[in-house]
Amino acid sequence: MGILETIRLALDGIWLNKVRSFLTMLGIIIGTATIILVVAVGVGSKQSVDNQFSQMSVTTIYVMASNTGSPIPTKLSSKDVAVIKENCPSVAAVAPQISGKAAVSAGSNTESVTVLGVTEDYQSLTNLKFSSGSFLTQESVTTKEKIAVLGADIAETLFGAGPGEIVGQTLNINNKKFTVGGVIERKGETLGNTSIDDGVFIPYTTAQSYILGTTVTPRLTVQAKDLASVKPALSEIAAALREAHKLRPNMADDFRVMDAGSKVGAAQETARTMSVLLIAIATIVLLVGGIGIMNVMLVSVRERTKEIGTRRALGARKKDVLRQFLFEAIGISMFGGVLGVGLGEAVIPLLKYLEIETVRSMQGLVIAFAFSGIVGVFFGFYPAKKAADSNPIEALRYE
Amino acid sequence: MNENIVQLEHIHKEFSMGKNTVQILKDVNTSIRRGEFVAIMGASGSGKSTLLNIIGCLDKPTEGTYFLDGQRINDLNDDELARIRNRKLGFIFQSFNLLPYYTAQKNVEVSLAYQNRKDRSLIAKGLLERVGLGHRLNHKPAEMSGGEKQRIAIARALSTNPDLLLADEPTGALDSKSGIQVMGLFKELHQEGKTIIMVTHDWEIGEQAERIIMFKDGRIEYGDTGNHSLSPRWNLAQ
Repeated sequence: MGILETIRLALDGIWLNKVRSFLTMLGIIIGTATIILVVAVGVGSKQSVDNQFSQMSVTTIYVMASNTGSPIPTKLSSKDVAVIKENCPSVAAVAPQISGKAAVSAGSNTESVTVLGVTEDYQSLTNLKFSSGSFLTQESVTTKEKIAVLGADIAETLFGAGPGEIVGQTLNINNKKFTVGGVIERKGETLGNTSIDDGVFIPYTTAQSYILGTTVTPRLTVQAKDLASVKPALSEIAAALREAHKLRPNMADDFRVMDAGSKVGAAQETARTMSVLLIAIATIVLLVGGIGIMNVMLVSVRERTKEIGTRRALGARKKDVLRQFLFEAIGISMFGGVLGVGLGEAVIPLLKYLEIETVRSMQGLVIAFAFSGIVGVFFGFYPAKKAADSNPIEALRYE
Repeated sequence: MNENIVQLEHIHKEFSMGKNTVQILKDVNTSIRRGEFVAIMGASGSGKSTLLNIIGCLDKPTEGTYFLDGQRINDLNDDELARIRNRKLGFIFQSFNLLPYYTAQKNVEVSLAYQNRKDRSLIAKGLLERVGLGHRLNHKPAEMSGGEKQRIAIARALSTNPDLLLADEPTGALDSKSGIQVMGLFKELHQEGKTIIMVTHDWEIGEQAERIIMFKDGRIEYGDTGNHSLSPRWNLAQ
């Protein structure tokens, strides 16, 4: 019997047992749908990690107070800027930064916003670009000028207008009047919990004197000279700060040093771990689905023993019988695959509502189809072989 | 073309049952000529069904040689045997062995499908007409009586225009009226020149054949001396 003829025979077999075939397919449907989702989420999260860090320089190092709950109060202060500048040859630039929540209002809009006190160096350290106006100057820092630079989102929230019209306008921060000096281009980058797009940047000195006070511990943004100096810079900074803070060898650091590169790595690692986990789940689901197929096919072979005997008597070769049952298993599996891909694609938009980044990809489709086909072949083979090898005389006699 | 369509020489068949081997066939020698209508009879366990399985290329003898239409069957592999069953033999079973989910017509087409014949629906329709079921082409076996089912099975056996029809207790599951109909059909086919070998334990049925081969304890008791080299037409001499 030709292959096409056998495929038709197998499809007949699936169709004649619609309900059973569909129930058997469920495992495969769920498995392939999971693969589609896994790949979509995996590619999506990788892309979002890449986006998030694409503009962040890998040579950036952050120095901040040690975790809250540490027994010693941190001695980290803006004085450490000078300490690092003097003692760390691998460092190119250092800028302090303090931040805190403040009530910011413009016209009738009042928002609780993260206000960041920074120096003029911050712009080059974080690669800020401006859609209008410019960043804080050294002069504005030394004169404690009441000038503010706004992130793209907060600018829109407060003024609801295009950036060009915002520069020169005034806003109130904790009831003190500030002039808008510039609006930063949208970055999409996060700094811990705040995005630059949501931040209000004012001179460091202004922040200390008027808004946040001098008790707030600053965070230092350090730029290593190049990628190779990141590692030595990390140890130089730690040594310099321990010395400056007069920490005895048996005392723990009262600060934390973190480099952007390791942050990127950690985020990528997380995304990868998630993908691997999801792929493992999808594989298990498919395996279980495959075992389901094998089970049903074995029952089907047993039920149809007499048919197998009859077909053999009428001239079916072993391979005709093998193919008939194998194609049936593959058919169930592939149909399940198609339905599963459909289901997966249908669920992807729902994930967007849950704000899970997903990206549709050809890769997912191919993997899902390939997997469902392989499962069909792998788990269909044993029952089909069993059918083909059954003794025709005994099969004919089977009731 | 060979005059003897079936020629069996010193056929032995043993089955092992655990440690014991059971001899089902002990030195069976016989030949069946083209166009003959033969009934193989005997008590159950006498070996007649085993012989039919060997003739039907479903089983191989432990010893001895089997020629079908002049071709030595012993050395053929599984695929070649399947091909012979498909092209040269037509099977009719006691319990019909129709595929329950196929219509009458589809059932008749099964053997032809293994030949990839494109004209199979035409052939199937013609044969179902011939056995008097032209009006029931699209009925499934469950909707039919035993006699009708057996007629579908006969149409299926005829579909590939085989040299030899093999019937295993063809009337065993039928009421007497349907049995008579089926036997009538067999006689018709015989008159048209078909070779028919029928296994039965029912004398009334067996006697309708041209020749009876009687089996007892794995040997031919009568119906053929087995010495066909000396007297191949022993039966005609009767």
